[in-house]
Amino acid sequence: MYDFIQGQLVSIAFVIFILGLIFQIFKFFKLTKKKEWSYPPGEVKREKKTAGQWVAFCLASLNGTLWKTDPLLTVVTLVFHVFLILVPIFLLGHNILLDQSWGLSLWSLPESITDILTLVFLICVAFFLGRRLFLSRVRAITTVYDYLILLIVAAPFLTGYFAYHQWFNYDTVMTLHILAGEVMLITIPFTKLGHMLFFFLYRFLIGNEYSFARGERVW
Amino acid sequence: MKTIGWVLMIAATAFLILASSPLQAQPDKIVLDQGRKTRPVVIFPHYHHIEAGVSCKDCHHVYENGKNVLEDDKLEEGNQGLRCSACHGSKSRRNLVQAFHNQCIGCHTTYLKKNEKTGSRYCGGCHVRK
Amino acid sequence: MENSKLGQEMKPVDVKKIKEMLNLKKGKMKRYLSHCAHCSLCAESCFLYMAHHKDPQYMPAYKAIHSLGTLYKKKGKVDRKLLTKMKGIVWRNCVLCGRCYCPIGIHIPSMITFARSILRSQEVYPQPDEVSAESWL
Repeated sequence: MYDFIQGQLVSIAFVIFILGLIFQIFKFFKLTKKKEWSYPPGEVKREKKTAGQWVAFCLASLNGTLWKTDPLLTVVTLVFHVFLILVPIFLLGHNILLDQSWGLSLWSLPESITDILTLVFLICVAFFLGRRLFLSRVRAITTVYDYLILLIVAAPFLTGYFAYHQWFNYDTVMTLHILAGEVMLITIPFTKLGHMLFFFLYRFLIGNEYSFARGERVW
Repeated sequence: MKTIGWVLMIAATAFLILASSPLQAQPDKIVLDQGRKTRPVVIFPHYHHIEAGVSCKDCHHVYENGKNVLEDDKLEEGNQGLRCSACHGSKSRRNLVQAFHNQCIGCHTTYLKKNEKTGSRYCGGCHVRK
Repeated sequence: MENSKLGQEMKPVDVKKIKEMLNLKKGKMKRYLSHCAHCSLCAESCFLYMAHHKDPQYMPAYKAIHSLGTLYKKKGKVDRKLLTKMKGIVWRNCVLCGRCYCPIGIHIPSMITFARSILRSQEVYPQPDEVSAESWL
């Protein structure tokens, strides 16, 4: 069982993850073949701004975003998502394993730093959990499934944190860590974690603001 | 059951380390420290590996045309030319960290695949935090 | 009025028809519903939510999940009582102004619109005399 989790299941998870994402991209573009009229048309060029004007514009438009309504959550969610992607990629242990098996590795962060970043990430998870438990407006749309998804995301980091500090039974924690990572990879394309991909794909549907390809596509 | 197996193995290792007398020609444990303090240093139970029946030239090597041409009389304690760092430096094809990792992980993985008794399969099995 | 209301409630729900309609936009709506992270960040963008002392019932996500979401979850097997409840959600609690904002990019009005057309196919919609009285809440 150890061998399966450490060996084949890793490749299976990555294959499901990548093929699942490709399938979702393919399906999305197949479903949104139609194009609609959009404004502004391509010929209209936007006004050129100087660097100072651009910064001022960005700061001013921040007031119209979630930054204004919920600054704490905006910061926490940004940190959460950035660390969720960056910490595993630039983790020393992962890069060593990559180097061992493929002979290539990325630049990696010192472990004392990733240790702190993981802790910050877990604090963000705790913040989300607290919101779900205590804010009535979040509780109104929360199901058991939401807690499960939060657990799926938090588990690799929690077990990774335990493994780094070698708390509890090291081998068991490591096996759970690998398993948790694989479960997360497999679930990403097919659950609400799919917003990892669809956050960007939905930009093809939104006209004018934060849009790709002028947001012309419609379902 | 596996946990008990690990505990027994670690206990056996500790026992061997403590029990090995100074009369042994080989050092019983070697601290593998390459200076970059990222993970805790590995304390390599050298004598334990001899006990387990690993031949000297399974690890110690001077490769020429894919053949290990290391002479037997050079395998003695205190020979500085025998140290891994004698060849594996920052300029060599495999640096010291890679050399350690390839040597240890490579061998342990083959044992794991053959379902034979061997050390831990994960990083922390060797890089033990105290 | 009593009679017509009674008649409406007596009529059985055409589950097959609802299922047909649900399948029509399954790819789009299922994705929208499943990608909703239930973060509640859409709340403040709804003026009805703000006007009702931040009552969670008026949150755009709540409205979509408890109307269209329920229909998909139950695969169309709903009774008239539930449809009447949804009627309140999609017609009274939402005016389809289209101002709701989703950080992920989910288009909530299209979900409410779709729920409305499904309800309309079952002849569940506010009667002109009901609207002002708000008796159908």
